[in-house]
Amino acid sequence: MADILIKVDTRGDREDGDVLFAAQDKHVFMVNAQNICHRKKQLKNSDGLNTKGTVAEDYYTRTHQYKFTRVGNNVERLDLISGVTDVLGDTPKIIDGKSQHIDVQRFITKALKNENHKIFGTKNNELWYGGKIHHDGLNGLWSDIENKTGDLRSDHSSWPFSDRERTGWLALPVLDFNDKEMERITEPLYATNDVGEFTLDDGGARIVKKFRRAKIDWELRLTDLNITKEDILNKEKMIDLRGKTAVDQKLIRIKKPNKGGL
Amino acid sequence: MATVTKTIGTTGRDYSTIQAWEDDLDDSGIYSASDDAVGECYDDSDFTAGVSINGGGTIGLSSIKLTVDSGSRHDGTSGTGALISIATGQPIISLGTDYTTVEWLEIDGLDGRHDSAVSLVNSLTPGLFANNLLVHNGYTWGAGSGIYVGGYGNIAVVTNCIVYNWVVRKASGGVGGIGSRNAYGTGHFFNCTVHNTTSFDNPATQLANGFNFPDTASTTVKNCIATASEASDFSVTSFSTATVDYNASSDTSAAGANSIDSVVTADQYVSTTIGAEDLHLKAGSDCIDAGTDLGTTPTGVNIDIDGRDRDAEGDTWDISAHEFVADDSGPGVASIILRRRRRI
Repeated sequence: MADILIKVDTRGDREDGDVLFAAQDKHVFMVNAQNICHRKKQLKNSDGLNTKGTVAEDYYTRTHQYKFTRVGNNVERLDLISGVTDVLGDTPKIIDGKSQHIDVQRFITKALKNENHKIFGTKNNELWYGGKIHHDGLNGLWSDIENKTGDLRSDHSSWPFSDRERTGWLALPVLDFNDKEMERITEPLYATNDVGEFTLDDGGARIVKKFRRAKIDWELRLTDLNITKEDILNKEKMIDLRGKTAVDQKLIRIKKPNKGGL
Repeated sequence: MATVTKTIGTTGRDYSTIQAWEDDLDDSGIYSASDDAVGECYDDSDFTAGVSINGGGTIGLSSIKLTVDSGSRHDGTSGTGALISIATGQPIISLGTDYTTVEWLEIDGLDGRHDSAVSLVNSLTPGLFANNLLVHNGYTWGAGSGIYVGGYGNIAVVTNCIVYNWVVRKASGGVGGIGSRNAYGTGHFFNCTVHNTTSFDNPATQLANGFNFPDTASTTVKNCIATASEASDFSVTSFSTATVDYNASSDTSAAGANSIDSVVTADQYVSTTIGAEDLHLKAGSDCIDAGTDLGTTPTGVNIDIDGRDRDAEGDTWDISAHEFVADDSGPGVASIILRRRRRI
């Protein structure tokens, strides 16, 4: 279930009801999976490399674009999405219009100086993952996690807000939203001129009038959520409404940029 | 006056979101006037939202710093430390309050549209600082950059940052990998590395420059390298007060008597392979020992992308965010170790 964090006071520059933070379903499940699968939590093998076949590797396999496998002084790059394979080495090669090279030995030597490195495999048979991070493999990843650990996806359906966040703001469950709606909810309110065009600074960048343009009238939801206003405003009391009926994100009001801007 | 440090991450930290930490900068129950506020990120999981750091005004904080715990910092390559990854939206990090620093974060634009990855925009008074950032894979819709300095009279400092695979989409110029449009302000850019700045779909109008300072009043650019930019590696045009020297480019645009033109990109870096970029210098790079010693001013300029203190180590400074040391080189190091390295 997607989550949002709402401001419930007027301290600072934001307003009561402003959406401070929003996380889609995919973000919630990704973040919880990352916490479970983090390579720091897995034991290294006798070569000091990350062990293959662990949930740490499953995380990369399911969410990263490329798998790199050392082959002598070269590296084989497998696009896990398209299946295309390229072999690269220290001699530059033009691929997709880009000159690319890699000094594999130096790359690995340098990487292994970091105790939190992301190199798997065994010495001289190293492999690692990189490229674009995506969410397409989340279902498969959670199957891997459930099969290999005691963690269940159903127990990790909320954003891991801290105690402070659950006392200082209001964490609300919302129906999931797509990328476009996410952008709408978290976009700042830009200043505009008399004809509704964005006001720009002297360098040509848009001026942010307000950090968030999305607002939710949380006081109208109190009955649905079975809670009092006093409880929510009590900064000593931890409130977490997640697990209750989700709020339709369409109820989040978007402030329109006012003509005349600042 | 105290330094108040709060942790940010998703395994039992003070905050799970950078936004809540920033919103609390105006909480008088946490901060007092003239305090230094520090947010320390952990790489428990990826951060999925950007932040505008503008808080603290009602308290009267002395300074604000968003940094990364020493055990969660990237090593100059992607996926090795605390990461903010966002596909779309406004500047991923925007600094607008005086004496604010952001450092040691990796910022992945996920090939999506942004105004900038990091935006340092303020007015009239100093100063905004971006240090040791790893920024990559996004595109700028309007006037912006991977790291952008703007505003009116702003003083901003960018040191030891790496930007790669940044795309410019704005017609009639755009800005670039690292850039500034700040007609009345000052931008200092030291020991930064920019690689593979390209246009979105029209090289003729979307001028993709590695470093681009079209109209910043007082610009200083030293010890920086740009390579494989679709337009120019360096474009510093309008003002006579610009100080540009000790830089390197893969084209002929690195101005200054001590700059190096026409370096071969593959001879400078460990890897330009897409998905496994490693822009640390490699043995034999033209940039090794070719920079100028900047001492310890501005603060942090001496700390390279690996956390090495060039000043304390007595290094002869390189051009680049990375200070090469011989044992970075793996096998064969003995053959080149004589090149390195102590300032006498």
